Amino acid sequence: MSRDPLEILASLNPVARLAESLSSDDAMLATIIASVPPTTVLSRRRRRGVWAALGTTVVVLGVAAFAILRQESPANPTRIVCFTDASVPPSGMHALDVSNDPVEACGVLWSNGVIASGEPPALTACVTNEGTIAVIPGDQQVCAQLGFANWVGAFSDDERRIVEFQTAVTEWFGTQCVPQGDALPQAEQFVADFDLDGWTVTDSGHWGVDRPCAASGVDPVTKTVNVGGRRRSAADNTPTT
Amino acid sequence: MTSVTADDRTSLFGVLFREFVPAVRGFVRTLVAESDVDSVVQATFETAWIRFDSIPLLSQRAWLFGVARNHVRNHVRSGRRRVLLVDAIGVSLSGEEASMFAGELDGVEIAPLLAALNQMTNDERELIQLLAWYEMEPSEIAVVLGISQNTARVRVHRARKKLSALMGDESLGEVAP
Repeated sequence: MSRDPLEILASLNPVARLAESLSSDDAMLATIIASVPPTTVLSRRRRRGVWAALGTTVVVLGVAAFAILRQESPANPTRIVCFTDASVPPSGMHALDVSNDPVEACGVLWSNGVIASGEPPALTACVTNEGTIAVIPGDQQVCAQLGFANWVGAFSDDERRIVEFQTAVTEWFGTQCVPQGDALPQAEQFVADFDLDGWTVTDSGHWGVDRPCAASGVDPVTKTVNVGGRRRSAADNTPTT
Repeated sequence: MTSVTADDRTSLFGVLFREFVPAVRGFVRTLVAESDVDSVVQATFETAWIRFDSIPLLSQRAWLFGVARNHVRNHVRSGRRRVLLVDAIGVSLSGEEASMFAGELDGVEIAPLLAALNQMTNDERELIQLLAWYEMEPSEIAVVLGISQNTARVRVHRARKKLSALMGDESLGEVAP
């Protein structure tokens, strides 16, 4: 009986040598993010509605848990991630628009069967070591079990302003072709309009004949707005809402 | 109800990118010449960035492989890939192993296997590669190839059977589809 060809091939497996990270990967990641415009944006009006409707409930929940668990505010209030299980890294994740009630927002994905079928499990909002809110299946202890802090339960005015700022910048650069010469001054004007202290605007490059339009990336952790070249998009020149 | 925005995805996409870029690079290296690898890898993750919402949670690697494969098909001459699978195997061998490449490894004749692989189609070789090197189930292979799971099972069965037949042992391919 001969040896299975698949076994022979498996024994010659080159994947470990072929699969490698390179020092240039971070540059590639930055290029990708800067070169492709955001595709969907939550309107500012809609976001404000969510804040107004759900704010009080979340504040109460946050205060109730404060005395028991280590709680933190997110360094980056603009993102919510729904974990599919209580592990790091999780087996799956979903990113959402920021919502005044991250647990409810992720719960909707569970209820709709996007994450899993059946009733949503108990969910808890944590703050990861990267400063992002992660909603994780489990009780209030699950954050500490994973080395995270519990979320304080409400967004501050400053955090809300950052979210509004990100939305505005994203809408502006994502729905029209802003040329390189105008991009940085306009981004700096957004920073001034939102009265953000300590924020800087940087040119991440990648401009070219085939990348004549500005793309933006807002990083609340480093307080930086990155502006770089991207290709023209079908979404360009559509009216902002 | 909330919706996903591109900017909100940035951090999560970074996690995805760093986790899978080595695997995607390794996969692409088995399909194209080294000079084309970076452009295919970048194109693959540009697609992932644009279609981030569509990536199946539990099949992220397979989905990325499928996108990479499509970019290869679109931009790289297929004739170049025929040799590269053999080249990729060569990468796994070094020193004394390399000198044995045309002969035996662990007492196993490699030359007939390489000869058999070269008689298979590109699609069949890719499928064999996904089975042997990435240990993918038919359900994952279906995602990579963009076909149904039933079709993937049938193709797996046929490819195994053909490989075994080409190596002169029909009995090895008799695995239920």
